[in-house]
Amino acid sequence: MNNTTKRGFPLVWQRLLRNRMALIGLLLVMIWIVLAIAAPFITKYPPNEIRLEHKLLPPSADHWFGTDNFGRDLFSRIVYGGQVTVWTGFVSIGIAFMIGVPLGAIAGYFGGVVSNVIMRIMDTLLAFPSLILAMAIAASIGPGLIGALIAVGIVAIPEFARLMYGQTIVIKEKEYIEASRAIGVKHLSILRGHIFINAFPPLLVQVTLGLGSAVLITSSLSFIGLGVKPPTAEWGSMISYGRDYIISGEWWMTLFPGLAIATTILGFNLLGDGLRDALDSRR
Amino acid sequence: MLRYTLRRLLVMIPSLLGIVVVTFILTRVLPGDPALMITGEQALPEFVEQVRKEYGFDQPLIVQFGSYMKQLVQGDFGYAWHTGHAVLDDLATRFPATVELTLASMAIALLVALPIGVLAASRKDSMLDHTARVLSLIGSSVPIFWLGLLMISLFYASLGWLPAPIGRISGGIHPPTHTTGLYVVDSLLSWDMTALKNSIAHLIMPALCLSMGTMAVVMRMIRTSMLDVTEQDYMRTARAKGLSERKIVFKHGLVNAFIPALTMIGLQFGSLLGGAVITETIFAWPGVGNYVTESILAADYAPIQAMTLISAVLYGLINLAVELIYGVLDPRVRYE
Repeated sequence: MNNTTKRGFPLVWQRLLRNRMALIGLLLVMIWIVLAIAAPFITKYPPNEIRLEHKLLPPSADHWFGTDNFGRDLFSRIVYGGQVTVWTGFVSIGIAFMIGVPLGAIAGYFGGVVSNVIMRIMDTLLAFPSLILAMAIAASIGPGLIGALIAVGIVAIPEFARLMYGQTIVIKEKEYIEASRAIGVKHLSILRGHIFINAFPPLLVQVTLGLGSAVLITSSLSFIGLGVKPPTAEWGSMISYGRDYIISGEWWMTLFPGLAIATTILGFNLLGDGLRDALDSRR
Repeated sequence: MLRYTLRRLLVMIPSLLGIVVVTFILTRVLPGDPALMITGEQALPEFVEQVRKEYGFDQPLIVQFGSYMKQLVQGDFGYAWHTGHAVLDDLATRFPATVELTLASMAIALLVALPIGVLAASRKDSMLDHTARVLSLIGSSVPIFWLGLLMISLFYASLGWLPAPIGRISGGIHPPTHTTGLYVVDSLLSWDMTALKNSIAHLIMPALCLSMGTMAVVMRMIRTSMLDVTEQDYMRTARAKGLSERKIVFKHGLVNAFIPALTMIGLQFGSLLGGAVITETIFAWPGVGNYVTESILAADYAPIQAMTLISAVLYGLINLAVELIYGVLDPRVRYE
């Protein structure tokens, strides 16, 4: 790991680009981010415009992904739904990162009772199957995007805390930390300037993989009615609309939003794996 | 080993307490008025107030926690408004369906993942290896609610190979005599071939759908640990002794590669429980997962709490069991 950080970003980037799978992952993620940002410019129809005379149209030149039971254009809804997905993913993982990383660092650095308390709480959260915990949290906050965001964020906190804890207890034993302490550098500066910086590569991998599972959990919550409220376009809730039409043959209502979810998660997974390999100094 | 098991169970008590605190926090501390949850949003304020008093929601949190604990210790998980039964009774009726689904999924996942993982490792970088990797990547990226719907669209709506995705057995067929509550097992026990065929046909889609994620993870794990094992000295020795390739791979390789994969398999039960909620909803499978979704939609709180609590406990017990199996597979592991 040290080797990589010394030679820095260009080396990691070069290794990442040489890995075909990681490149595909990066491409998939970039495509969705760009589509989400460019949504207003590339869509012909507003995502929530109801036109019942156009309902349940199969894919065509006019409606690339067809229309839903309200006559809404599915391509627009998927692209706009990408905004919701990208946003919820980054915000919820952001929450988890901002809370989990300091908790793990404090537990690992100071040890003792503080460490015990923090890490036992994290273990308890990890004792729940993640989707069930997220459902319980989202249900008690009440359905809606904010509830889902918080739920997904809380579920991801212990993973960041545990990872940071593991990194911290290794890094704090290094000689340069001892030296910093000896010359009177403050704890906070050591945590920020040495420990966080050195723990960053594995944290980055966790962020990437965490984004993938955030997308999965958010869309699962929406699918069972705990995520965004209608009419907001969101991939999971679009599939739950499509569910009622699967037997009558309107497959496009289910197929396209599902492909969107799957390719996004696949993208984050491939990118995360690629980053892990690229950051691995043993290679 | 018995002493170790007992000690591990004792150690579970503080973490159980933690789990109970978390579920309590979810009911009482997070925004959302529990009294309003019980009465519904439209209830008269006086009624809401009455319910609040009746359930002690107006008491200090610590008092509330005390009575919550007391309830739990007595095995009282509360009352499910939307079914009109005690939560524990509801769970007991639905539990066998979920057990059957989860076990079937785990069985499918292992039956597919183990041989493919082993073969992929023994022919590293072959076509088969690449296919297995792509399959496992797809398996871990595809949301199961989507996969389930696609399966219904293909196997039921288009091809008509499987019965309508509703429940565990078709309407016109009598469920087998109740022994275990698992329809497949019960119909075998009572030698009821009609029920057996029908319940298997109903089980295939949901079990396959739920198994995908686990299959992907286990396949990947087995492949990796098989590759590690292949480099070990005892494998070279086995080869030098002139053992057959099959014996080398399965007896010396797989048994050792299986041990690290076992932890992963134990952890997978957690995601199977979560996945069961989604899968059961799609296939109208009358298990606890479906019950949870119904409760969420009905804003009925007690069942969700109970299920959260029970799944955490089950998860802990399963992982303890996995740890104990370790010792059976690897005699070097000593429980101290």
